[in-house]
Amino acid sequence: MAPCADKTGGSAGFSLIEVLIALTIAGLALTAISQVFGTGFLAHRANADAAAALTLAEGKIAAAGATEPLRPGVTRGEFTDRFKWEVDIARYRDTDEETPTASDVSHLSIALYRISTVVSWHDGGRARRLTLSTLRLGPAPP
Amino acid sequence: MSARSSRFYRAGCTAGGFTLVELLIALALTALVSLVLVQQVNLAGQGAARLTERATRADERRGLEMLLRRSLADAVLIPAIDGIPAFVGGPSSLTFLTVVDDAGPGLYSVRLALDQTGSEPVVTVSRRLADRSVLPRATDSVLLRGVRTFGISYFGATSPAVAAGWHRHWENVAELPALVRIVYRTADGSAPPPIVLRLHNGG
Repeated sequence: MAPCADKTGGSAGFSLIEVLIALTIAGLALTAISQVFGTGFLAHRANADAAAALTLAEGKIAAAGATEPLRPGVTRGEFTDRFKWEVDIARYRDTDEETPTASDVSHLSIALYRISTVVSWHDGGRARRLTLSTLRLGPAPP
Repeated sequence: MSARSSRFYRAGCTAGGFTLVELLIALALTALVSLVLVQQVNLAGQGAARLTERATRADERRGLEMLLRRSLADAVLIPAIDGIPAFVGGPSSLTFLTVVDDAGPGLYSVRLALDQTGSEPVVTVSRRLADRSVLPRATDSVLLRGVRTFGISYFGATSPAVAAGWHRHWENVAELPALVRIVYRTADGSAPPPIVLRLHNGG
């Protein structure tokens, strides 16, 4: 190319190989840019899953002790085959020795229960878990 | 390369231009690469549009949950104002009185309802001060768009004599329901988990 370029005044244009290389580089760049959207989509999906798991866990905690009596035990279930939930209700014991009477309600007919909800799901092969806990007063077990 | 030069190019100059075959191959390759590029750009565009749509849905859902957790959780049951009962629950609409709202202190009447009059069903929320003589105007806003199904149910005992259970209606009951559950499905087919809310003054 160089000898002829000299003779014709240096305007020989690009060779086919050069054009193809340029197009390939442009293609790679655009592919990289389009992957940004893919990453954003995955991040959004992970976020949406976490929000759904939170709604599910909050709903389970709200319903505990209302739709069925508050008594110690574990219940499990699934939501749309994607989220597995588990509600664990247990008598709450205060282990802090400085306030031994804080949860001592044994002379009453009520008891303090600890309600723990665990929602687990898979996000692109990674196992995710969300745990919410609360304390609620209920009737003392007989 | 030397064989190629002697065959395709005139002596003395190596820039004899492309042959027809070379040009055709070049055009075909350029077309192929351009096709892949255009497809990539299209895919990226579609991905961006879908992401925006999903983000909007997530925002709407968050708005609904925020409203419920802030306002409905603090619903109060007081005697009727202007003849309007404090809590009227139907299968796809709900009106309640609450002390908590974004607009400031006061007693508010909030109505959450499925509106099917437009081209697509939407869930709207209407808020106004409970005392209409102060400010009669209500502020309406759309909470959810593109709703396929929307159902509200209420948990509690409708009278002391009956056991607590889930109901489609909650009207003229002496107490607020213990729980309110909202189940909905959007037009794109997604079914988020039901929103189950405990009313602080309920049960």
